[in-house]
Amino acid sequence: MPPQRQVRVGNQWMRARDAQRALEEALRVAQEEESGHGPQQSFISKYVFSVDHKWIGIQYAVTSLVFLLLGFSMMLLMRYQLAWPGQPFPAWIAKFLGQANAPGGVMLPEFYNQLGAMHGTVMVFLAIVPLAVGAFGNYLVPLQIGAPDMAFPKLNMMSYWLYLPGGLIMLSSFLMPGGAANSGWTSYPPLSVIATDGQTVWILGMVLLITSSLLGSVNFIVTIFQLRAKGLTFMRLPFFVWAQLVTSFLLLLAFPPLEAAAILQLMDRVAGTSFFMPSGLVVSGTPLQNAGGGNPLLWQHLFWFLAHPEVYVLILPGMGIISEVIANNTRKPLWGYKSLVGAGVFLGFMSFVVWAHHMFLTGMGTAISAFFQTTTMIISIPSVIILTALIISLWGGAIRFTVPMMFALAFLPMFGIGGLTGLPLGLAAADIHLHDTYYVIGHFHYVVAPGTIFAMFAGIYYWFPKATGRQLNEFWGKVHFWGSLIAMNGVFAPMFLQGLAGVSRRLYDGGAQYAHAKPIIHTNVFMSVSAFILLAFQLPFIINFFYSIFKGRRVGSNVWDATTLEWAATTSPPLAHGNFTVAPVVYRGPYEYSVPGHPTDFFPQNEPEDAVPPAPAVGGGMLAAGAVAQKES
Amino acid sequence: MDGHTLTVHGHGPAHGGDHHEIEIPYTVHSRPDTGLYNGKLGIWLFLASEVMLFGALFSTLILLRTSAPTWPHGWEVLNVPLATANTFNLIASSVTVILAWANLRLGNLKKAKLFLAITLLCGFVFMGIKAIEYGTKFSHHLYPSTHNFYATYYVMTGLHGLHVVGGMVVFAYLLLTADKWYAAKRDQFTNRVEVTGLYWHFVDLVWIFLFPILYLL
Amino acid sequence: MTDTAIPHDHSAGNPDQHAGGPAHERFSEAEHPTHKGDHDPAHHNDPEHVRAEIRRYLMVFGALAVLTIVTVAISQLHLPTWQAIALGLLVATVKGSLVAAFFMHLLSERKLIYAVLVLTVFFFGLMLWGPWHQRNNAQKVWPGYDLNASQPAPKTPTEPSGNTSGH
Repeated sequence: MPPQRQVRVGNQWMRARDAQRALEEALRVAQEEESGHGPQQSFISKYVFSVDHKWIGIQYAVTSLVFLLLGFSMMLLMRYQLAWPGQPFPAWIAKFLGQANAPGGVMLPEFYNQLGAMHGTVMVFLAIVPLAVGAFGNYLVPLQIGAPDMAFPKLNMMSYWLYLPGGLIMLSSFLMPGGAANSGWTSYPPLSVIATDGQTVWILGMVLLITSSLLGSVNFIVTIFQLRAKGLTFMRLPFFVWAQLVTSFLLLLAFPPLEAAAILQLMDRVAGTSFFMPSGLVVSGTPLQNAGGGNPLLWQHLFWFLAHPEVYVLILPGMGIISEVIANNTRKPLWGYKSLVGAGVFLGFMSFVVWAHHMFLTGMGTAISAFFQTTTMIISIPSVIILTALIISLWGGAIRFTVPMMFALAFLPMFGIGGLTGLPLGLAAADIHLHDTYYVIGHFHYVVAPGTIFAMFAGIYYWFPKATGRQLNEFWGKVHFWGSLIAMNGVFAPMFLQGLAGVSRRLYDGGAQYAHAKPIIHTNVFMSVSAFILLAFQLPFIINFFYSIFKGRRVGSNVWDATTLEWAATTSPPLAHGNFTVAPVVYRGPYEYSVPGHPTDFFPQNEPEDAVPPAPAVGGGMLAAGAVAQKES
Repeated sequence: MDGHTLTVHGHGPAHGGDHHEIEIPYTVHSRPDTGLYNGKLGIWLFLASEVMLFGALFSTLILLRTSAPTWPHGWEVLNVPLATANTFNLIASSVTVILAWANLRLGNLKKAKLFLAITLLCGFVFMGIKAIEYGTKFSHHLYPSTHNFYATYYVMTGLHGLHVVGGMVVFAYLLLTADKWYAAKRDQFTNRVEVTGLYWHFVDLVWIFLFPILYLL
Repeated sequence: MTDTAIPHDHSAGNPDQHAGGPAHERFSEAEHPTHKGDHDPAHHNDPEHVRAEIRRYLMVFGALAVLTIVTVAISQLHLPTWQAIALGLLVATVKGSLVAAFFMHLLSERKLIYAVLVLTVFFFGLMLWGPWHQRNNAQKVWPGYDLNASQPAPKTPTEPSGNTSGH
């Protein structure tokens, strides 16, 4: 295959395509005008209680990005305290935190615990999952499978309107007497049962969030099974859709046990039951007045039965996004699509069978530890397959170093570090040393922060033109990328060293009181400074994001020359509710780039084989041209 | 180019601007390759998650009971005759809801509505009996906090009761809108009753296990 | 690479497929007789078939009623705990199977639903097994595991296999 020729022809086509943009634009304006004659939707039904998956996706995206920033801010407060324990905050922050949380500007240990619990909860349940599933899944899955909307649009709206109150309730717990939940994001009893009232609010918030996720997952699975376009068989689905399908099954079957556990913990807290409370507990010298006979480890089982699949809920959509971006920017098919799909499905299945590797130190016994250790080692295989397939996909590609591609390329080694450092944790013997140390924090943050969050950034830069018709600024995107990459490593890499030295997580002073932490504790300052630099490098992104919505460079419908339906079969941004003017028909797999003999270097899924495409008019442009001609006739 | 339909509707649903106009495929009829309509797949997925929800509670019950030095037999402390009556009641309501569905397929709306009403009534009876049971327990100062047996009893029957109430709300809605829906979209209405019925049978099925486990063992 | 064999006809549910059709040419059942009553081959809508189904439902109702009486009767025997549990769960399983098989039509359901349910039942079993195994194991290697042991020991011995009763 001579890639040179492809690129040249591709460029020629791209120039010709500029003319097509005008046509598309004319069509879009015409349609907007036309829809103006139809029944007008009120502001509320169009922008607040919208049933259009695209708008719901955007609602999810904006909300979850705000929560992401909030969770990040909580972490910054903690990092300040860790680097300079006992030092007062700058006056304006101290004023914001208030005397109750930071008397004299110095953070109280209780408040530190609240921040720790809420940082984890907000990041996992309010930021990453809604962003990965609610935002990207909602916006893209129907478009990529050629459907007019989700299978149950009203249910979809309800998901969002359970998520938002759930999130607000969760945050409002900071206003409770005694502050927010402070028993860690895992909320282990008995501590969480005897904790302050913020924990009750935490549980209520969780019940809403879980219900929201359940409704969403039902919707996704039905949509993917039922609404695929004509010709779009399962092995022609973009890997992103596969990832969302597996993710939805994880949410569907793993979340209910946590919902049950949350109800039980709520009963323990408000009705005085003893599901998780053993007999004979003495708190601050006072014996607890309850029936006893409960089992604290039961909570851990039910919690991790959710929370381990949840880890894959965090990473799978990210892998899906990365696959799309890599295929598009290497201009060649993904290597080993079938292996990717098989690995993704197997990963999802296995993720249900590994949960107790979080509990090696609970005295489970060697037999069960050996079992979960084995399954944990097995689950690393599909992860490696996916990563390997993505890395090999780069081989021989004509890589375009666009901003989304740079995030995707960084994802590969970063997720690799996160994954490989998980292996020692999965081995029961090594885990005895590493359990509950900063090593664990480093491990899963490498998976989620420069892993998933980078994938999310890649997705935002990649699909921003889809949702807005405008492109994010490339230069500031690159500034954002390099700054984030370096700063994130600065934050998380030293955690491995601290953890190996035995520094525990969740320490208010970062380990200053322990002799064994002395030689390594100075890295806290470095990590915290890196975190503030990381914040600084998010500013270009935030400004770029809002600026580009209104003032970004206008681009055509298929700005990246992509093959999948969301780009090839509809305009950007897509038309009003309903997505496609013509129901797309799919003729081939999702990543037919650089097909020998084809005049352009991409062969859209919806382009018939025998049609000889006139050089400029392909995909959306083609449809638009035809449509305009038809209207005029 | 023949593969494309290069035409845009003048007033097509895709860009009418009004969300009520778009039609989601397979809301009423089955997709050939899955053989299912959307609602049916959706409700089964939902029921799968419900299996996991109640499964976690059953897991809890097994663990607590086997760990406990003392655990009363249900028949010693709970009202078996009342619960037996409720079991009959719930099974009967499962039959009436399926008869409602069958009558819709026969085109007999009146009878279908009657059976839906009976189902709803059974729901009220069930909740009434539950209220009597709970009331008696409370009056004897037997609360969830008394013993883990009562804790599991209240939580499991309580959650099940919430499901009954949820079903009753849907039945009331179906009854109130039956005429309108049946006239406009008969097949879709029939499907709704079928899907609601599937949920109701599941609620019945959970009770079929709860009854012996809590009351008889 | 041309895939001309499109796996299914999309035209029924998607009005966009009808080229240039005016608004009234939307999908309606009468225009697509092939789709009539196809949503489940087990449920033909012809009256004979439905009446036969109704008779079957009533028979299942009878069976469920009888089994309810049976299970209550068994409990009156006050059998040893393990036998009572085994019998009680057996009857419940039969009853549940009847509801699932006939009322919920699982006897003639689609493969996709079977697949979902098999997956669910597997994970359900796993969820029962995890905590249960841990408890049993802990009881074996560490007899003091049950914190309630500080209370007066129950009359019936607590065997590793787990005696559940002893009131």
